[in-house]
Amino acid sequence: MKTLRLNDKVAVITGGGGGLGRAMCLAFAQAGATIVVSDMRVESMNEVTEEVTKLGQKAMGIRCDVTKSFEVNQMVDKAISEFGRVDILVNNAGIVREQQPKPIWEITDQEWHLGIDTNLTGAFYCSRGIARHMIERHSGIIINIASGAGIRGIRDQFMYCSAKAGVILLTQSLAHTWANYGIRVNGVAPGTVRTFRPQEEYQKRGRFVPMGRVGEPEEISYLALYLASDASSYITGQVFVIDGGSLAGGYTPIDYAPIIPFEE
Amino acid sequence: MVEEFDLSGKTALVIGAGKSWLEPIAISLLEAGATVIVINQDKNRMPLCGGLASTLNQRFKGISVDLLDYRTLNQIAEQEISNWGKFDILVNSLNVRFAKPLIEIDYEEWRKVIDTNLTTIFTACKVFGRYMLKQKAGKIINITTCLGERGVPNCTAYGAAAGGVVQFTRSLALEWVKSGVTVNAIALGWIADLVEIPEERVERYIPMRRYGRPEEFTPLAVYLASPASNYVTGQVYFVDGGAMAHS
Repeated sequence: MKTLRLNDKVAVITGGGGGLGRAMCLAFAQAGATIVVSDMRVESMNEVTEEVTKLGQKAMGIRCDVTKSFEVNQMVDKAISEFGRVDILVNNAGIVREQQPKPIWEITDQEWHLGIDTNLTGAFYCSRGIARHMIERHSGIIINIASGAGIRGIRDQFMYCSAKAGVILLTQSLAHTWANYGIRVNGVAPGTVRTFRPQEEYQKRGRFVPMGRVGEPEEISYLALYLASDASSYITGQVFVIDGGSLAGGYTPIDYAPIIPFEE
Repeated sequence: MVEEFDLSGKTALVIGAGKSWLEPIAISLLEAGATVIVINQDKNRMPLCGGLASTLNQRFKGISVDLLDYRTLNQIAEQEISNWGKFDILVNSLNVRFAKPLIEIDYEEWRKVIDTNLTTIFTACKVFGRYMLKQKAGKIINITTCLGERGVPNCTAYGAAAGGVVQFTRSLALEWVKSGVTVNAIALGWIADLVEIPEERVERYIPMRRYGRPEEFTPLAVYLASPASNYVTGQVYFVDGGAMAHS
């Protein structure tokens, strides 16, 4: 299908050095895109940049902390001056959930702001940073990586859930605002994705997913690729969930399957 | 094409009574490499994909049958499974649009709307899904509309069927989640040629301010039919130019 190609497109992927970010960088590159790998973890950023280059695509790593707007603006400028334009922005940078649950009164202002800033403000800064460029060109695609946690609540995940819910509504508002400027804004909401945690933890989490396993980064990247490509040209303002069936249910335990005869 | 999106060697069943949604889906599945069997209600509205299929070196077959006739469908299934060996993909579709004030809808109309739009999907999943369960693999895609999630006056019957497809999709997805069969839905907004709303409403209700084209939702069907979507199940994906993001 030729519309699934990203030939000659320039894609900026924030958090590109992470597990999911890396998978998207590679999938987009395989589809023909030039990749700007943005991350604050320089080492993994450089590794992914090199992997993309090995696939025969142009790539550039730009260090950026998405919670600092001047760094975001610099990153955008650098990407545009290097490759002439940015067609696709993937707002993927974020921190995965609070590690150590604790009572709400022990969460500091700083922790709250860090959670909201990385996962929500970062997406806003990057979208703002690229907005003029995309509007002027009357063309652009933004993909926000949300989460199932932005749709349903999770115990002890105040910042993560709130920020991801914010990302979903940011997606809808941006989509609505720019629908007439040739810019599409969509989201991908994964369930748990296997990245850098101990394998046992993913195994345990997988047992609460109807499919019985967590998602692989590559599986998420295909959906992002679809939304980044012309194949999805009439889709905007949507957040597509990819979670092994988790959100389709969640109303009863996953093995609950009653049989109730029809009584006349 | 990224190879996970490839449908070469797959057998796809495309089932429905209307013409317009079947044809673009059949074409895109053919183009992605699948063998396509269209089963529709009315012989005169069968998509003619034979020429396209032969230029693509793919196979195409059209069968017309009463989509509520469980027995005949079973016979067709038995026959086709012996022809092709397996059913990899099943695309079902809402079929007949209908809108009328509730007070004026008689029972026969109500039943007809629910039967042609919802019961046909139930029947097809039962008849063909059986083989997917045996294979421990399969991709079911139900085509519904935004009316399955949003209310519209006079669309009680059609909307109930569309919403029925949404909940049917979620429940079946979980019921069959351990069997390797994924069940998802595509909910369409205003697609050109298939719907008509007054122009000024396009401006007001569709953020993209235009109708969609059939080729703008068929790639999603290919994605949901392909191994690229193996971790997606029980989901309803909207193709609507932003309409659902609209408050």
